[in-house]
Amino acid sequence: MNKLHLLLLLAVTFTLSSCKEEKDDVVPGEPGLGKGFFVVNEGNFTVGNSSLSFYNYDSAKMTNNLFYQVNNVPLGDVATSMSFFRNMAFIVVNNSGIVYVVNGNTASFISSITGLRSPRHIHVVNAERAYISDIQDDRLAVFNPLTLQFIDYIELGKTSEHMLSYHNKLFVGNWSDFYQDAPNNTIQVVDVLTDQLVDSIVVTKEPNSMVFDKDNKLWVLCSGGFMGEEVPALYRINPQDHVIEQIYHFDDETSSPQQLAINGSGDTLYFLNNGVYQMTITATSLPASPLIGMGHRNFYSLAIEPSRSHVMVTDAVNYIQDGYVFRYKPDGTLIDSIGAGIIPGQIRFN
Amino acid sequence: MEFIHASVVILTVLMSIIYYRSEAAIRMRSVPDFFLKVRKGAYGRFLFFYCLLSLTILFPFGAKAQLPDTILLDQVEVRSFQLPHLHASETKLDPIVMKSLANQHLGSALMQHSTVFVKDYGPGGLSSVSFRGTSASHTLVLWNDIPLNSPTLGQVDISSVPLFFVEEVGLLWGSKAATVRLGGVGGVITIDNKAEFNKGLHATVMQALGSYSTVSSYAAIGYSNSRIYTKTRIFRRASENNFQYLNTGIIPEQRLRQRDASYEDYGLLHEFAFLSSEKSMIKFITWNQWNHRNLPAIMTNLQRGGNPKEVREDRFSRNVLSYKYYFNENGNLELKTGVSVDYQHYFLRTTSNNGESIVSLIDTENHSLGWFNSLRIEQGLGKNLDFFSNIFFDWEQVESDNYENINIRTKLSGVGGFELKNLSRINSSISLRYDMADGKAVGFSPAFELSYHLIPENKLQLSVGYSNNYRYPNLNDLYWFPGGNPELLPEKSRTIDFSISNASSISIIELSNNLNFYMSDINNWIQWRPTSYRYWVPLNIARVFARGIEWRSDIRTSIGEIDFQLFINYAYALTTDESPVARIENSSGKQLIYIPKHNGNIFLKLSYHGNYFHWNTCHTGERNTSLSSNSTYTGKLPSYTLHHIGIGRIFEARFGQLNLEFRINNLFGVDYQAILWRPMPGRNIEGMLKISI
Repeated sequence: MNKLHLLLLLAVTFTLSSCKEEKDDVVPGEPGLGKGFFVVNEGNFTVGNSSLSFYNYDSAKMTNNLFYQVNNVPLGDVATSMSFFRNMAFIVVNNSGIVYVVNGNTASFISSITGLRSPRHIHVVNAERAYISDIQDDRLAVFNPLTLQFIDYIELGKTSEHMLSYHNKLFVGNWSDFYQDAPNNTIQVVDVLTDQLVDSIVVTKEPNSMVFDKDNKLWVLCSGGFMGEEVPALYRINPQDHVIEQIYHFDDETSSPQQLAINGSGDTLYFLNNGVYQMTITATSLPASPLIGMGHRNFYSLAIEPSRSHVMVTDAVNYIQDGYVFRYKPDGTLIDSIGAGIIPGQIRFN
Repeated sequence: MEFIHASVVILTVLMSIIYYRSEAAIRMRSVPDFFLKVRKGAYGRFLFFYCLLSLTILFPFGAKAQLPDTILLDQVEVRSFQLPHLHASETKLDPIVMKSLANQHLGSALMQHSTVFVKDYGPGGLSSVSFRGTSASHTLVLWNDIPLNSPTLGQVDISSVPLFFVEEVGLLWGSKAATVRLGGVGGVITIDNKAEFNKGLHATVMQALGSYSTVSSYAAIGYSNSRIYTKTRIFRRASENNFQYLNTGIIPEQRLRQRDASYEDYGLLHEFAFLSSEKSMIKFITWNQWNHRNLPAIMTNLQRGGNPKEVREDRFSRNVLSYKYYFNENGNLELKTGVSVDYQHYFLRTTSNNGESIVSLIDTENHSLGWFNSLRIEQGLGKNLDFFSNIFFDWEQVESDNYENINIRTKLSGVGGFELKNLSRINSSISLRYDMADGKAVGFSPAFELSYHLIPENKLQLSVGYSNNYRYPNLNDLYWFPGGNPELLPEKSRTIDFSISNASSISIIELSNNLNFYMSDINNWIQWRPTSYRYWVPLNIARVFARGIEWRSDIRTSIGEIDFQLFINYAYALTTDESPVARIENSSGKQLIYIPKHNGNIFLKLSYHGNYFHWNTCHTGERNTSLSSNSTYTGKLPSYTLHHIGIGRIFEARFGQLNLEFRINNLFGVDYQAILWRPMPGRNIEGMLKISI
């Protein structure tokens, strides 16, 4: 029995001492990432496992955890979007209340904008004006994109989400009603010369995404509300006089269309609605069947590669494992799938 | 006393008959709707036939009962040598361990002295426990047989249980876990208070001071004679909890102080027990507690604006009334009824830059009410055979801002079984449990265990066990708005255990070892899944296969006048989802998140003439933070090993006993994260003075 106990003790000691951590080799982003696309992986809310991926067209390789590998810090808690201005890339990290400013060619840290409540998107209008939307703040924050100096808040009276600019107008979608009593069924218009709210266009609940087409018409996709309170709809709006020119209603409240995107030539729209749908900007009705069926996948985000009109859609799988980017030809034929991070969200082309 | 005994049994039978038979009687008493369901439905039939069955078994023995010379009442068990238990599927925390951590919470004790995994969010934060590779909601925690599991989440914040309020902690798994209430698919933790008679007037005062302005105060006063036992305990534990840590989640990496993490808990526990005769005891325990905890942001979120204020408040009152009656020298029954009232408040607010206006606000409340009842009957059927029987009826109601309606859940279970003891070299038990929930059948849970003494001299014993168990969905699964799924099925587990244990003395060394292998197949495991809307819905989608090894060793000896105790616990757990959905999603075969494969601890205590030194080391293996294969923070958290030491002296005085102790926790100042981006304290100290009269 003495030997037995000695062996048992040795076994415990060996087992405890043999559990050592392993680390990946760091792959720095220098000297340049090349031509390709970024994937902003949202990660899980309050967990802090957002990440940034980059796919290089030449090497046909995806580098995951790029931000961490280059800067040795995590991206933060729920990274939602990315924008470019000159050689800079702005990455908005929602629940960390921060916008990271990185070198767009290397992903190396330049600076950050902090003190934000729950930022969602940043839209740079020019070298003097960048606007940051916020899902908890009913004001739009205005920054100088070069100096990163805070300029002012614009009182919207509503929380904000997607933004697009046309001439000297900024169109701001009021998407969520989670942190506000005000109705979330408007596109607000801000004059960027005066930073004044000048108009409000009433649409269906939850305007979640917007694009401009080749004719400079503003398209707005509305999902109808978190609980499906209204029938979802797609709007075409004249950005000059703010008149709604066309409304396309979906079948019923059970639809929840998201992620409106447009091809490089600006003549074909795409969106997610349990599959990828495609329609021309001249269509008189919504498409009846999807271009790409979802199958067992969990389509989460959509982008159209501008030059070749490849349809790129992310699969968040079960939200707790690495997701994928699926690439399709314009006719819906699958090209390939590429591994990304947890909850791959926005795709941005550099 | 026969009158009381008879009254209890008759009352139970009458309850069944009344609810089964008399609609008018029910309505005149304006009882809740669920009683009507009881009367009309399967519950009524269940109660009726259960009582009939119990009485059939009970009365033949009760009729020829011989009055015992002494009362066989539960006492605090302090043994110098730990023998293998009759069941290979249960163990208890050692009293030495309980004493050494008297000013800690139960989570600390389990983390440092058992194979149970404690998922700890840090001081003042949530601590949840899980058995054998399952989740926290698969661990049933019973306080004096009353479930502590939240009806909404299904899990227990074990950090809210001060060890000062507890006499005995037991761990049950496998076939033993199938003999108690519904829900212990992974295992069961039992927390008990024991009445001690004939102690006279006694009191304890304990004061502990530690790093980060941590102040813990405890006091107890009690009196007992041969008939009455009463004891009141109070505590207050508060801390600024502003420890320093290395924040690697922001640029630049820097050493910061934890902020917005202060907490304050205080509570009262009162017991009263009365020996109403030589054969019976009535006991009442009330436990009331208030927890106020600030919730700090994770490391990556410290630069967020709006001055976020996040607070969780819990208040609860748990009360148990029990009656135990020894109707013959080998038989007893125990009837318990308990009421639990819980209030939970979550508050999150951000303000404008000048702090004058509220920008966002979440302010939610949960009110829950629980009524728990049990009747246990034990009867020896000869020298080697015992019969036992349990019936449980639980009713829980929750009013929550997260539900559309006030929701009620009822559970009814009946268990019966036999234990064969020391027949030749064999110990065995067999039981069958039947559960119902919300008026619907959950299913049968058979359990079986067979132990064989291979070498009786050193108690070398081989055991094999098989059991089924169920976990009924919690109320958030069923009724969360939006997304709750009332059509969910109970999770069902099938578990096989093999164990080898021994207890022996070699010269002056006393040894006991237990090595256990287990395999659990859990079907209908509930997972929340995304829908085409943005909210999620729980579904019976996963099939989890949990298997592993647990090892416990206990070595005690004396060298000269130095007493030496060494306890070792180690667990290897491999838990994967083997469902068709997991295979499609390519997650099959991956270790589930926050379940370490390796988890172990060692405790060493040396005592010499009232002086003592103890050293504890705890190892937590690498944990997946997601199902990603990535080895960086998005995929895995590294393993860590912590060391804690303590030195103390017990002074014997005329008035009683005085104990002084000084502890250093995390001796080597390890920077680690138990949960991703949640900082943990480095090296910290605490001093404790305890006076017992």
